[in-house]
This record gives sequence, structure tokens and C-alpha cells, in this order.
Amino acid sequence: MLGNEAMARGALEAGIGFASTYPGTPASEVGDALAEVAKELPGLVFQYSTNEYVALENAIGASWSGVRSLCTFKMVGMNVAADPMFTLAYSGVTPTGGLVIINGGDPSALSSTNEQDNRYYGLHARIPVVEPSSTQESKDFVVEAFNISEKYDVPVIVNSTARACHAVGVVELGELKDPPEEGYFEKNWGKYYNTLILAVQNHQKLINNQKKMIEEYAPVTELNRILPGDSKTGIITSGMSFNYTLEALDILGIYDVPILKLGLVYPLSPKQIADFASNLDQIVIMEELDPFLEGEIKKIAYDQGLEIPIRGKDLFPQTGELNTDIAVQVYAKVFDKTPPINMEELDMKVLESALILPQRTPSMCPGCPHRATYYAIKKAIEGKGYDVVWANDIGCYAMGALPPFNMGDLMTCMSAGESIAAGMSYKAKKQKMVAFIGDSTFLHTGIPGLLNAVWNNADLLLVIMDNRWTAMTGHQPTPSTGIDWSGEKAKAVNLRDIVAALGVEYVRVADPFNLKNAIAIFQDAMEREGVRVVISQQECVLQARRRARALIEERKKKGVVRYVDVNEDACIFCEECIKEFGCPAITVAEFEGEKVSHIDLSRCVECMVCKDLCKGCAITVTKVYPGTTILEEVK
Amino acid sequence: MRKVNIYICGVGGQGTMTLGLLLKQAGVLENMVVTGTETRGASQREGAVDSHVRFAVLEPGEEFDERKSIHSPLIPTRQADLYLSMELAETLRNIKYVSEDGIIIMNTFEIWPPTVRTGEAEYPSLEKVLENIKKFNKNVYVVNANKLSEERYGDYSGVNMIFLGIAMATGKIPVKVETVERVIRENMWDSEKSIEQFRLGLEEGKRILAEGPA
Repeated sequence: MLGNEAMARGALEAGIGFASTYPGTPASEVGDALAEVAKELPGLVFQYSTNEYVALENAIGASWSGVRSLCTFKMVGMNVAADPMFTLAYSGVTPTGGLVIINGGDPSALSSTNEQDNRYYGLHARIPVVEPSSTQESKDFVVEAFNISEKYDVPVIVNSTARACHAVGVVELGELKDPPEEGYFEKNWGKYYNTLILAVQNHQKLINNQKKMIEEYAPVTELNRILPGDSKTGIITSGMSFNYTLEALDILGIYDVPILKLGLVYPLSPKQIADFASNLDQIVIMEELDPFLEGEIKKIAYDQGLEIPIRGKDLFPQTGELNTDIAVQVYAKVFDKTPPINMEELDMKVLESALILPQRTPSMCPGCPHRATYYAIKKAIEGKGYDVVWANDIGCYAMGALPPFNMGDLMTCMSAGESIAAGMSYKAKKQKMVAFIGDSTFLHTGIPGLLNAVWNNADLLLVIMDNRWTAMTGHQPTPSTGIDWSGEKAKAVNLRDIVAALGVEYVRVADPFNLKNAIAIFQDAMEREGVRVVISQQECVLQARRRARALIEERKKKGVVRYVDVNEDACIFCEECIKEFGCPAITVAEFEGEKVSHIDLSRCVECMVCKDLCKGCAITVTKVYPGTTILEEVK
Repeated sequence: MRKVNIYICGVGGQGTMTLGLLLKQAGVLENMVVTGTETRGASQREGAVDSHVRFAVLEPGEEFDERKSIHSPLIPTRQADLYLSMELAETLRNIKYVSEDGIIIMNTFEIWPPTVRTGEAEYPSLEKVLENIKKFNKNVYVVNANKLSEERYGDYSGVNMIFLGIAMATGKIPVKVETVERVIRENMWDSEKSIEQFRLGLEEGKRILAEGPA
């Protein structure tokens, strides 16, 4: 079971009646796993929400109706959800309606724009944070998080890093609990209406509940455990770092170090820390990213009069993901051992060998409509001498920043591109502003930004890259897809109507696969001033192909084959399709001693854009009929 | 407790994730401690991807000791007993994982990244790649699973299962062939064809192992 699936399972064992999410790697599969089973659980309401604060607010509503609720998102999503989250902590939850937030962290920013450490949100909002190390704990801790939530009238954050989210392991399952069919909101003005003295009282209640939790729960919870040992140096760790610690000590042959493994990383029990430290000369803390535990433990050490050295970030890096190798190097130093591998030497050797390796960055798929959109814009501005600022955003289309398009000068957070470009347009007047945004990102938080640009007279072209799905995180539906989480037909919002309703006077819809037309639209849009929006509309090729699979199979069975090919005699090898368009399905071949373009049929999906851009008209689409020699050229 | 680590790498879309997950399931069926992880998310398409498969096997009569088991989903450097690469140049990218006495199986199929297609970068030759790999480990066996699949099935659909067969032929994976076949039957879309491809791989694996390292 995947870590994310295990957390979803935990929520089901806790008997959740509501779950909401905005997808984001590394946490996407939690929601996807729930979406898969929700149909069979009549008491469970699941939704892909438009964004994280909407997701959390929905979960709050369900929790306040007395039903256990789950809300999941990636760590930057917590910034979006922070607004309701802080006040939620004041109001708390209900005795039967615990609320758990699953946060997917991303050390090394493998699929994010930063590597923020969300344990600080727990500290800041006074929300307990639990952190699993294994897939088993990923399930078990979610169940326990619901218990804590209800017992101490507070939401609970389950903080899982990308590595834990995507780790695969064996999970011993518990019983599933049926979700309640119905809830009821018991009115309580003082609890739910936060302002003035009511808010202050709720703040005090939150602090009191936390004190109680620190005194009676934190020292005894099974979320924390101690691996005993006689060494005078002790280790405190949690999450993935616990795994790296155990394996590193095994590699170094050290088995006598006492380890305090924290599952509840906030709040900590001063008593537990003091007891653990009582026989030690030194504490080493291993944790990823910021010195969060180190700071909390040093605070406790001061209050408890502990005068032993507490080491952490003086030994371990504060950026990037940690691993067993780093742990081996650090613990070898701490425990005066020789590591079995000289990492510096090995790294040098690896680096030298890797010199012959070509870089391999991810790229848009063959037939991706985003590639065609970027190409159309590139052609539209060719020779115009525009000085363009390309503001990009979060999604597959962010790869437009890579060659051969290089259309990405900045990328910040969901929907930031349009407003940053708008802000620039007031001052950087010699430059033209073009912002890209996906349909899902636009509907996430892009609407207020566009409205603001119209209202405040910005000067920018916003290109909505509408591929109908939240593609990069695994093809979750968006409000414009026309289906809900379960694949049932749902209301599909019309992006053009929304944009027009925001007051944008210049709205055009382009089909990037109709290259000539798309180029003309972008040419026109680039020449104008004010807020202009072009919706470049074409479904994600992976989804379109998935649906067409049956049709293609059927066609193949009949023996009808359609294929895109290069007429080698006509190919002038201008390399437009290779260097300017950059489709991964087009490669180089030799024909009669000359280089020609070649189409890799195992990868071509027949989007036929290359046929339209071919300068020598060498690319042809041919239909082959079975049992005949009829070859029909498709125009 | 015996730790067994299998590292699989390739290019997004080649099926390293499927291979990794099948092996893990086979381990679970044989009651081993299993962990590992696959590349997901942003780097899937055309990017470099990998899969870590880790088993811990109790020797007869041995008691489980948490401190001596596997925990991290990532294989520590220099500890992969079997290093499977589905693409020629990718073999080198994370070569630090292979242990000194481990086995490397390298698919010689080439997938050119955009920089090579546009002529900005050069794709390394088989000889160059081999020369560099051998600085780390000399037990390297080469095969062109794509060619094999194309000859047999007319396309590359069999590469994955052929590769799994070759991997099993090394004897480095501590699960039974029958268990792997059971997992294939339970998970693969066209399972009979997949089993056939897997067995083809087993034979091919035996052949290249008999031939000796490249």
C-alpha cells in the first residue's frame, strides 16, 4: 500500500463522513484513493474542491455538523487554507466530528515551488501535528489523529513528506467504520462566532486545551516511543529521519543508542524530553528542513534546566531531503566511526562519469496541446521585436519555460503569474506582459486576480491553457470538465462566460491544433492593449487518448491504420519540427545519405500539428485499408 | 536479517513504476519485510524516473530485530544488489546505488532527450557508457529488450515483462518465479501475453548470463 493510500484507509477506519481535497503532488493519491471507494460508501461525501481554503471550509462545515471530516492538500495548499484554519483552531470541532488535515510536505521541492516546513503552522495556529514514519503508521496515525481532535476539541495536522506519501509498504488493516448518514449543527454562538471577546475567549480555550493535552496526553501517547540503549548520546527524531537513523546506525554497527521517536511532533511533552535526557551527556536531533524540533526541545531544555549539548542543524543540512547516506556521514562523526564509503570521493567519481550524460528534463507529451499553444505564440511574435515578460504558473504548461520555447521568466504560486504580470505592467512599460494559467489554476484562485486586473486597468495578455483537467497531479476533474469526482456528469462552467463576466472585453477562444487560426488570434491579441484573454482550448492528449482507446483498438482490429509519416524526398530538413516545435515523437533519420525528419510511430498520437507547420509539406497523414493496397492521404 | 535491494531506472513512460510495484507485491506474498518508492508527479513525462525495491528476509530461526531491518524507502548508496536500467544512458545517472558485487542489467535501447534531438547535446555511445559503468562495477550485462519485443510482437509492448524475466533470471531477487507469475496474472491487463513475455525474458536472461558480462 502507498503511504497516501494508507492515510486514506486510516480515514475510512476512523469512519469519516466527509472528505475534500485540492490535488497536489505529493498528496494527490489520498483524495484519489477516497474517490475510488466513496461510491460504495453511501455515508461518505467526497469532493474535489476548487481550492484548499474552500476544501477546508467545506470540511469544517461537515465537522460542525457532528461528522468526522478529512481535508487533504500539499504543503503550499496550507498557505491558501491558512485563513480558515487559524480561526478553526479557536472554535474547535465537535465531540463526534473530529477534523484531520493531511499535509503533503516536499523537501527538495521535487514537485513544488518551495520546500516550506509546515510543522510551524502547528506551532503558529496551536494545532497538534503528528508525523508518520512508515506506511503502517500512515494509517494508524490518521485514526489516532481523529481521536485527539475530538478529545481536545481541535483540528489535527498529519504531516507526511513526499517520501512517506510515496513509500510503499505492508499495512495491517483495521476494521472499517461506517460513516454516519446524517449530521446536525448544534448552534453555539460563543463557540462558532469569532469576534471581539468571543474570539479572545476561544483563543484562551484553545490554550487551555493544549495545556491539558501536554500534561495528560503527550507524555503517554503511543505515537511516541523510545528505543532503549546505554549510550550517553541520545537521538531524538521523527518521520523519515527515524528510518534513516536506524539504517545508518545499522550500517555503522551501532546498536546501543537510545532513540526517542516522536510521532506527535507538536506539542511536545517537557516531562518526556526531560526523562529521556536524564541519563544523557548529549542529544542529537535529526529532522528534515527547519530546526523545528530543535527549537522546541531547546525551549524545553531551558525551562527544565537541562545543561547538556543539544545538536541538530549544526550537523544536518537545512535544505533538501535527507537520506541514509547523510545520516551515515553525520552519525559517523558523532560516534567516532569510519563510514564504509568515502562519499566525497564517490560523488566526485559519479560526477565525472555523468559528464557524458545528456540532461533529461521532463517535457510535454507527444500531442500535448500546450506545446502547440506555445508554438503558435512563438510564431505569432516572430520578427515583431517585442520585449516580452513570460509569467508562468503551476501545471504541466510550466514546462514551456524549457527549450525550445523558453517562455517562463517567473513562477511563484498558484495563479500568481497573472497578478505579478499585472503589477509589472504599471511600471515596466517598455515590456509586454504575457501570463499563462491552466484551467484548473484559473478556477483555483485566478478569478480574483483577473477581476483585479480589469478593475485596475492592467495591461496584459492572459493565456488560459484549458486542457479540461488538473492534468499534472493525475487528471482530476475541474469545474470545467463536466464531470464530478466519480465520473458522473456534472455542471460544466464555461470559461469564456466567466472571463466575460469579470469585465474582460477582449476574449478569444483558440484551438491550438488549428495552427493557422491560433497564430492569427495571438498576433491580434499581442498587438492590443489592456486586459486581453485568449482561452487556448484542447483536451489533454492523455485523457483524450484514454477515451479513444476503444475506438483505436476497434480500428486496428479492422486493420485500418492511420499514420503520420515523412515523405523523405520532400523533407528539406529545416528542422522546424524538431528544433522549433520539439515534439518527442519526431527524431532524425538518414535517407539516401541525407538527414531527414522521422516520425516515431510508437509515440506519435496523430495530433497532426507537425503536418501544418512543415515547411516542405513533407509530413503526410496516410490511411491504410486492410487487404488492399489503397493508401488514402488525409488532408 | 538479509537485506536485498533492487534499483530500477529508466525514462518516464517505460514502466519502471509497474516493475517496481510488481516485485514489491511478490515480496509481500512471500511474507518479507517490503518497502520502496517510485518517482511520481512532475518528473514522469520524458524525465528520468526510478523505483526502489527493498526486501528484508529473516534467516531460518532468526528473530525480528527492528534495528537491523529495512526502514527507508530509498536504497542507501552502494547497496543495490541488482541494478536494472531500461535505457542506455540512464544507467549512468544513479550508478552510485550499485553495490560492488551487485549485477547490472542494461537495456541498450536509446531514448533521446530534447537536447539530443535538437543537436545541442550528444548521446553517449554504448562503449562510452560501458567504460564509465565499469569504474563502479564490472558485472554488467547488456540486452536490447525493445528489439526483442519488436521482433516478437511488432511493438515495444513486451519490454517491461521481458525485463522482469531477465531480472528474475539473475537469481538476485529472493522471490519464487511462480510468485512473480501469480502477481502478473493478478495485475496485468493481458496477463497470458504478459506471462509469455516474462518467460521469454527468463530465457533471454539465462542466455545473457551464460555469455558473461559485457
